[in-house]
Amino acid sequence: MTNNTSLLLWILLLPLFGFFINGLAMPLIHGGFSKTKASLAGAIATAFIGCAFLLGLAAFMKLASGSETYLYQNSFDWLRIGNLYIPFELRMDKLNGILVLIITGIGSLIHLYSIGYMSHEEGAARYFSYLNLFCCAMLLLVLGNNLPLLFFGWEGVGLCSYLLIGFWFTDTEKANAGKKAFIVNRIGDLGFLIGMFLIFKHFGTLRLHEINASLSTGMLLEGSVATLICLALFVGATGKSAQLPLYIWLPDAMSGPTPVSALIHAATMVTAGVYMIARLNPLFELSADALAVIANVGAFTALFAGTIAIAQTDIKKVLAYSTVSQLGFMFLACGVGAYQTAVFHLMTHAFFKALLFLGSGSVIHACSGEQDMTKMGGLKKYLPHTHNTMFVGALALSGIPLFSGFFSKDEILYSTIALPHGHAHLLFIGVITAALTAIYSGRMMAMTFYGQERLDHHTKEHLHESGPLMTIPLYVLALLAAFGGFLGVPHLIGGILGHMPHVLSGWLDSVIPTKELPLVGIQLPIHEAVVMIGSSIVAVSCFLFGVKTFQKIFFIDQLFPGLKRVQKLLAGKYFIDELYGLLIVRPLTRIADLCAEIIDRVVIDGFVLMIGRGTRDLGKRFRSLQTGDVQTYALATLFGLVVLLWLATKYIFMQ
Amino acid sequence: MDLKVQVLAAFLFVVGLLIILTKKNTIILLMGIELLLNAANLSLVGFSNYLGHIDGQVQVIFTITIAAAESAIGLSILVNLYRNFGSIKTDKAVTLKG
Amino acid sequence: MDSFNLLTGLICGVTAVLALLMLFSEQPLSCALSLLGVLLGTAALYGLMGEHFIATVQLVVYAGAIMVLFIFSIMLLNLKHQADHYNSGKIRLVVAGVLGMAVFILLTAALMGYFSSTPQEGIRGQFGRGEIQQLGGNSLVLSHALFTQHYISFEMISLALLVALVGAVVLAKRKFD
Repeated sequence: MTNNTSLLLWILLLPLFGFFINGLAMPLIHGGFSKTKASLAGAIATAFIGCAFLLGLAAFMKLASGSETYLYQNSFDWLRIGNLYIPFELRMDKLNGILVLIITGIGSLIHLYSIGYMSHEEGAARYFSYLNLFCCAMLLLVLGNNLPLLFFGWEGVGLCSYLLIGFWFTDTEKANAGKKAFIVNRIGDLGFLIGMFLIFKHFGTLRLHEINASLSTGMLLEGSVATLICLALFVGATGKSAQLPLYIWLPDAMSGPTPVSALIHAATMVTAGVYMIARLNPLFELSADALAVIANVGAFTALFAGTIAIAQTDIKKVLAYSTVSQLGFMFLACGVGAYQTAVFHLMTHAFFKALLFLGSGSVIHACSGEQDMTKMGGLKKYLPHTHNTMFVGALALSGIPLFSGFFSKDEILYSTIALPHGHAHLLFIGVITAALTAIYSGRMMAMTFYGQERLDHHTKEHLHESGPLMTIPLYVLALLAAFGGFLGVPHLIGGILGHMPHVLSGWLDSVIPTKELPLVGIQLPIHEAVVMIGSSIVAVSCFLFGVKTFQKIFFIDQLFPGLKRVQKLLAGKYFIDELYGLLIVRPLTRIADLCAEIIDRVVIDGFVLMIGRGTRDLGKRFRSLQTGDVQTYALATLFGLVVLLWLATKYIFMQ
Repeated sequence: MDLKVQVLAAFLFVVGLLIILTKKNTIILLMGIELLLNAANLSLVGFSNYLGHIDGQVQVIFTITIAAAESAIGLSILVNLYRNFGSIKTDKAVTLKG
Repeated sequence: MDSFNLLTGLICGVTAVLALLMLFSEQPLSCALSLLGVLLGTAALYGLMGEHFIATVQLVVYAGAIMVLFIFSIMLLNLKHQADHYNSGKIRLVVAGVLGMAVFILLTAALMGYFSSTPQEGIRGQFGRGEIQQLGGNSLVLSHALFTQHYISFEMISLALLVALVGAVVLAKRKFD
């Protein structure tokens, strides 16, 4: 491959420069780490990411114009050890072009939003430098052409999520949330590493285009090996993209500032797992078992998280579990073989979830930090812009027809029965989860914006709509959430609406082979239109139900009194955290205490002290040789003389 | 005759060694040193006589001379020892004891 | 040669006994007199071997000067109250005794091994027991060697004597503070 552009490195480096300027230069100039004004730091950071977006757009246009199929830039050879060749190479093709635009575009909007959100914050320069570093790492993840670079970015975003979640580190709980995110991520990364090692062993290379090329030219891999590799990589994806059992960090990650949740946990970092699977789709195609595992884990996670979301009171927690649930949908799509659909849902989810998070941030900002929905209500007339945009986002999330979420979710639901790797039960789980999604979206809107005002008097005084810095990004994202779905109109509707093509499918075809969905499902003989209409009815009715019912009451046990214990279980998140604490954290802590008290103090310290004491005692013993008495020394000399004489007599004189 | 002389020289040497190692009186110790030197001289002269070289006897002249010088200095040291430690017992001069 | 050997053996024995007396004496003065006896015996042996010059030098320097010096110092320091006792630690006595005997045995063994082998003709020089008489006696031969071959050492020895003299005076001087 030859270099055909120098844009890619700049796209990567601009946020990095922003990181250094906000992180090093600004403190040096202002003489302290918390002295930079938020607006200045924010302006610098937004400028850098904005320029990265423009460069990304330019690169995208180059790809779109058809002059190249991919853009490649090899900067230098990083490692060359025997068989292992890892250069620092960046490659943009149609798949990561989309992701680059998402990262830099939505990233710029979020940077802009953050200027308003963090305007009263002291450590703003630190925040913006971390945000820029995150964008740089995420770009490295998607643009890197070999697995080690991808992993470098993978770890980098893990680090940045730790830094940003634990941004207000003086609060122990928030700091612990950051730690939890990083540690759980790292557990998944072990799986990713094992997958990488196995890939290197069997493919002899770690460069993505070579792996995919050797698979497409018919390289045979034993079934069990392929399954092992895919499952190992999936474990990594589980950690990063918060699926069962490693999803536990994402709800806690809401301790960070809300724009962070929007960028990292809605739009970008959590989608890294989906990107990785989409990128390596020829490898995953080899193993039906691994795909089945992925699909089932994804579906079950979606259902699981959806059930928890309807019982939460914190607005950000609802969105967090919603994110886990939607990620489950994406993995479900990957698991049935619909990789393009997964990318489509990734894109639409980025739009509406970022919108929802930023909107919730606006609400929280307006309510002076109040996050509990039971203490909000009736905010519609006070926060019109926020309400309008969040309403669009909620509609998109629920899958109301013609909004973006509808197209992508529907494609996933139909793929579960239309593709050869699909299964029938997945459709049912998907539909139930879609219903739950609509319910909790409606519930969220109802409890926050409609119904009675339950605000605290003090909070009500400070209630104000956010400034334009925060509302403009909201509107931009609302437009994308509303109309973004038209990039992926299925052929059924496209024919009706006048030959609208499935733009995304055509775009991604060269990277991910398109799988034509038949009109009638394979696993279950249902026509696509039936699925579509059915899911629309479910979505609309559940959304309306959610909006109507939860204006007056908050929990499902107030609706159906028999569900009291269910509500307790759901509100306690199935007590999974406590279970992990008991099974894993406690034993580990006990072992650590044991090591510290016994092994460290008795064995190691004892050993070291013994050396000191031993040396001293030995010295004491040897000291007694120095008697000071010359005649003793003479005796010792004589002893040596005797030995010499003996030797001389034996070997010279007695021969 | 030669063997007798040499064996006597060896014997005198050993006795001199024993005096140095076991006696507590420094003057006797110095006398032991003289005995050692004497034994060496005897052996030298014996071998010079046996083998027919005159160099052994030349060496003996030098040795006797140096032994005289050394005994003079040894006695001066003895006087100093007596002045510093108040006694000529060897077990009193052990300030270098570790 | 029988009486010669007998005489040699007798003198050797007496010297050995006197040396042992030195070892076992407690008073420094008796030790000094035993040493004197040993020196006399050695001088006799030198004479028997035909080394008359060395014998004379031994008597004059060793017995006449060094022993006198020793006896003068003993008398000067007036040490009759400082008799020597054998309690220098039993272990040290035993070890020294054992080592001493070991040295003696080894040396004797070496000597016997040496003398029992055939005498090497190549090593012999021309100043053997018989030849010296013909060449003009011990003094002539010795002084000839001393003043021609080894005269530098001879000069250095006299220098050493001077240094020793100065050293002895300096060391033993009464120090005035």
